[in-house]
Amino acid sequence: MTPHELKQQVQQQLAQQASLDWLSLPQKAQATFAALDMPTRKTEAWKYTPLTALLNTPYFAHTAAGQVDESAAADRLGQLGDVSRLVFVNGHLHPGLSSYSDLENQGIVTLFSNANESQRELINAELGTAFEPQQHVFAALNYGCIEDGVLIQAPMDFKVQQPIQLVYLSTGEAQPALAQSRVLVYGAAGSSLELIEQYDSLGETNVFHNQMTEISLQPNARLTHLRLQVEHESLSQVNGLHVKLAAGSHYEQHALAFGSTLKRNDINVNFNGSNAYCRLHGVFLSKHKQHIDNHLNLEHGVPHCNSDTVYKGFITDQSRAVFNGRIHIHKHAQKTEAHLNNKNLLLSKQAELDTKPELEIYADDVKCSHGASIGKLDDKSLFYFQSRGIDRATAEAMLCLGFVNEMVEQFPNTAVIELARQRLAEFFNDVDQLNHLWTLE
Amino acid sequence: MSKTPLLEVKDLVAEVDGKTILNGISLTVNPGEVHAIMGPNGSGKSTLANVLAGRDDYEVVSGSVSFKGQDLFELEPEERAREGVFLAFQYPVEIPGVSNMQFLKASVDAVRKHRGQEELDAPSFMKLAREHCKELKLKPEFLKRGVNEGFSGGEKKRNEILQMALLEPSLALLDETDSGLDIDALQVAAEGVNALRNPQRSFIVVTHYQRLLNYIVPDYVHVLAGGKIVKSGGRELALELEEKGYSWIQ
Repeated sequence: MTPHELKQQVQQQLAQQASLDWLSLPQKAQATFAALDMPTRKTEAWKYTPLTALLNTPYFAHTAAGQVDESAAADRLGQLGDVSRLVFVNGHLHPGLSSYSDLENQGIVTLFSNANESQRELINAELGTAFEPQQHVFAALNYGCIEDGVLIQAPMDFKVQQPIQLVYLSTGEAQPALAQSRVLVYGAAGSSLELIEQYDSLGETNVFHNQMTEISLQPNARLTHLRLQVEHESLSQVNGLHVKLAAGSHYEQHALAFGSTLKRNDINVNFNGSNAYCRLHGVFLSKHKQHIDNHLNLEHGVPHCNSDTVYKGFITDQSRAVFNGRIHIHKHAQKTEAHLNNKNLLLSKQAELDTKPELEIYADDVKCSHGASIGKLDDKSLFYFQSRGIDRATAEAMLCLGFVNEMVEQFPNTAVIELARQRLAEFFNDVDQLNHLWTLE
Repeated sequence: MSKTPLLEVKDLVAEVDGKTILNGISLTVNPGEVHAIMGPNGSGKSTLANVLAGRDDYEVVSGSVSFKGQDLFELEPEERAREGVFLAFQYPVEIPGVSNMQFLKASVDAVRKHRGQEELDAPSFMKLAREHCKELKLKPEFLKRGVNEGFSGGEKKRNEILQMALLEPSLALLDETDSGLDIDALQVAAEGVNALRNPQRSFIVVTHYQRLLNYIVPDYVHVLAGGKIVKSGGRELALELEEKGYSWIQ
């Protein structure tokens, strides 16, 4: 099937599937999808991430069913203490694994299908507005059919005490299938919320997960966002995260992501009001023949906003990673302070990294920096380990762990750090003699 | 009865990038002795310490080094460490993301294993590490920080002494341990070293200044110039150097 034929087939499917009738977005998204071409190698934003394999796998003919062994799934959720939890299995919310009734009763967590009149208005007003639809064909695919979704709404001047854990579990289906889910986070003025996203899997999977998350922070709202993308390497995923920041709002993200058959992260942040702050701290790892593509875009559209982006990459074996970080300072965005750095450890001659920090500045009174580096393990550091009796292989492994851990240890939630370290131990399973070192704090 | 030397360096010649740095060094160190190596900048004194520890930036051209009767150059740096060679670095590297505790435990485990001792369990190890920290006036939080990450000059040097105390080497090479230290930090570091002196353990103290030797009193002083030992003597040689300067030797 050519990409064009595939697109037509998907288009027909979208038109047939039932969306919530009060939502205006699906029709618009279908039109957008119809108007857009599937990305090719010539599409700048997809230059290093070929979609051939994705488009040639019959993911799009079936929607994932989301069946799962409940006790096995429960074991995978981690011990994050006192949290409200929503668990999606291949895109479907799983009530048995989820527990969020307190927040549901308070109107903080609401399924689109249960939304009241004012929530419907809010969803219609906010969903699909944090990004440029023409640039995101997979967003159009996701929004082209919305059978349900989750609205997380922090009320005005309210601090939501319990973190909200969103778990996206991928698991095997009878046949390759499409899994889609979507979450809208709305932080009302002066509110405060902690969100933990855990993308995880139960063994091998044959789904393509197309995820959309939109975050809208109103004046002086705060959101701390922790993100673990630690799925099985058989997964294909395109993940769109779009953030709108009003005046004085504060958004802080800490991320850990593993590569997989295909993993593409788009993070798009729009500064819409002055004195807003955004911090993006992430570390990505790829091994074997995995692929991971991180596309970050910060739109500084107004004056007096700050952003601080640090991404580290660990790339080995025959894997391939992409980092594209763009800061765009608009003409009126004076007094912006924006910094972006990408530091990478490339450990194999067969591995490939394409990194491109971009700074586009149209204002004349700003403070900005951007940079990227690619390196091997440092010889001086290795010798330091060896001079203390530690053999070279262990020294290399410890330095690798340290490189990653430097980011992970900054996560502002110790239970999430612990979960991240468990997954990292699985990732580094060939150096498992080091696992016990995680516990020596 | 004559002692068996711990370390015997014979006619050692070493170069870096084709430039000769050590040009025929001979030195014998017996168990329990403290040797000071002094010399002007560029004389090769740090190189000597690094070559003995196994740093591969230097190429050994000729000569031999025997340590406890075995050829030192046959051993990888980690094997030398396990056999009891310890280098206290002039500029310890910072390793963010690896906690000092993890690093120390991995190191002590490796060395103990080699010596046929049991690995210490985590609580006993922490107890031991905390005791040594206290002696070196280091706060316990120090163990949780990344290896040397953001440490002051004094903390870095004391961290080296802490490692030495935990690894219990038979030959400690102190590479300009005094550089960058104020007098208080110097005293703490020196006390740490002196506490480890015993009849079996030997030290080679590399220093530019006599000052350190007021605190760590050497048995022998050697003056290095142009990659050779040009003069050897007792501790009084250091005082004479202090007074007259290195030009007196050259």
